[in-house]
Amino acid sequence: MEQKKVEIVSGAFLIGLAAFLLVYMRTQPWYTPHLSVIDDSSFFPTIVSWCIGALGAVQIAYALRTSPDGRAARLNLRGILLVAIWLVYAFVLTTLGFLAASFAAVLLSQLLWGERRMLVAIPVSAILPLVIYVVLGKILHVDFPQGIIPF
Amino acid sequence: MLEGIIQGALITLGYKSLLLLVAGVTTGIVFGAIPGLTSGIAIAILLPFTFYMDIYQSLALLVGVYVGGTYGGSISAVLFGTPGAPESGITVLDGYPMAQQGYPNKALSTALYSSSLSNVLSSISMLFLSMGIAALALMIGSTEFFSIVLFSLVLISTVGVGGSAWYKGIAAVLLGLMFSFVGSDPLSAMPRLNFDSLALSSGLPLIPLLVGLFVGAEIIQQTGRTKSVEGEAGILFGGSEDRVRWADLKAMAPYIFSGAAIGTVIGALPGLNAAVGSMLNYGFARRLSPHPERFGKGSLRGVAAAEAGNNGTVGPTLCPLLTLGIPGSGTAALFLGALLIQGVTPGPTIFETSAPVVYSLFWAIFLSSVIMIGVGRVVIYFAKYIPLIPTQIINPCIILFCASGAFATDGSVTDVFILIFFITLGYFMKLGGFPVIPLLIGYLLGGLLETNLRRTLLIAGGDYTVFLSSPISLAFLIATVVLLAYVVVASFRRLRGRRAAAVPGAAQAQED
Repeated sequence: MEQKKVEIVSGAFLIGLAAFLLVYMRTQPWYTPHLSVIDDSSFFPTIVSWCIGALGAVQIAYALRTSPDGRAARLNLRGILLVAIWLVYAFVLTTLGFLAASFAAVLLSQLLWGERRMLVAIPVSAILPLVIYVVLGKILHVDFPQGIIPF
Repeated sequence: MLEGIIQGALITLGYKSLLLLVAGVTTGIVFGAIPGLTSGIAIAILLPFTFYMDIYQSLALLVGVYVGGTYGGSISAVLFGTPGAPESGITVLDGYPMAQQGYPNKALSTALYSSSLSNVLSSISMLFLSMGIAALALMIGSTEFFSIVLFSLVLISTVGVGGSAWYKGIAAVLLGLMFSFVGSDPLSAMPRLNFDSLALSSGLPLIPLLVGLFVGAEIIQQTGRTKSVEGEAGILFGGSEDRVRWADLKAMAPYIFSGAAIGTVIGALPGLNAAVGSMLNYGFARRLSPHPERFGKGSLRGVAAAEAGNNGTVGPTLCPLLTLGIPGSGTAALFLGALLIQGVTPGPTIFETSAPVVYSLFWAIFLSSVIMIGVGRVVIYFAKYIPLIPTQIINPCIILFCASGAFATDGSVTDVFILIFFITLGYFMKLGGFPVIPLLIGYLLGGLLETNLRRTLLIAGGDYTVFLSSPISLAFLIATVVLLAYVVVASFRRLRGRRAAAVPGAAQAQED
């Protein structure tokens, strides 16, 4: 994507976020602008939301007037997939358990990153979660979910 | 004071703390040496695990990483011409040519000695500067505090964001403030912005936010890149001339002292980082040097000046944090996290409430600088291999460490989801050119800013002019307005200059 488009899209995102927050806050019981600043819980969030929206507009204006040089901000699709892997990890952590979910997530992440030596990738994916599980789980008593592995 | 210093020494000289210092320094050097990884990432990864240590052990580990990481960046700068960390960018100018000329060991040793000595001096300046600022800070109330926090936030989001535009820095700070509002109103305890989630009712958890933003901004974009540096390091040891002699140490001494002095000033100012200290000291050293023409071509003095300048900021960076509770950099924000999870709230009264923490911090920086000489000498033997550690293996492991750490702090999967959210946010911010450090600091200072504003107005009966009646508050508010005006006007001038330059260019293109 061109730099100019990135600037406009992120500026529009800021305006959208500000608008969402301002509308959302009005629906909440703590939105109390009739009170003084001292007692009004929504005073600071409201001001900050307006400022975020204004800066989004400034950013768009800058992008339109300056036409930032065409250095494209490259979206790393592998990066997005990597985040997706770890999002799935968070979803299945309780069901699969820490060891199984971590093994799968680290292995898939290594493959996605470009590791092709399974003789390296598999032992690393197995040993690291085990070390963390023993040190944090057994020695420091962190209650990791066991899931499908019965220990 | 003397009693405190002795007490701090006794705490830090315990074998556990010493071992953690050694582990921290080694980890820091390795992380600093790998381009794409920084000491900040190492601190972020280790932060959740310090929850299981006492505060002195926690600080020993994190300080070791910080000190080691600030030096570690010079390894790949010297051997590969690629700075391992942003603050080592200036070291490349002379370190790499030195290595190419057959003096890699001498360049690395110069960087090591100047880093360590500058660090020792920075630990001393941190102690005295903290005492001075804390004594002054005791005289200020919530009115002045609000103005100081506001000024710091503007400074961090405008001056401290390097290449990012001012409006992006300020937008990042504002997003951070917004995240700090999640949970409940700090004065009335009324639930606020928690989207009816029980998990968010006590606010966004600190560790997933800090760790996620750091990792998201620094690591995700590298996915698929299996090499952190291109090319190979040449020979690691040259001939008999490839070592630092006593005469060399004498030659570099003035630049180490100037680096510590410049680093003290730069480090103590919120928003200015180690790279600025390195750049300024390098410029100063070139003017001071009897052979300025050698700078940039493999000057030993150049390497010493660059490294002393960036390491000189290490201790003083923590001064505003310790004495005012204002983290002036990303690393200081992480240290604030480390202090908060141990139940220590830094601020003007730190010497009354938690004096041993400050003294042990001083000793941790001092000792880790000494330890770094020993560890660094050993690491030099393996230095050429460190930047070649396969990133496709180490980076997924880092993410697992982060996820385990986020889970371990609260035993909750929600924290892992929050971590993933902030990893994603950090990545997209990086992609859009938004700096993440102002967001972190905005999040950490949001409560302080709001509480002090509303508390002041409560005392003053809602009268806003109270902020103008205090000379200190007025001075900081004027400084804030001047700084903002300067940044905006300078940005407009650049814009006008660029458009003026673009017109003849366009005309030329038409003629062609």
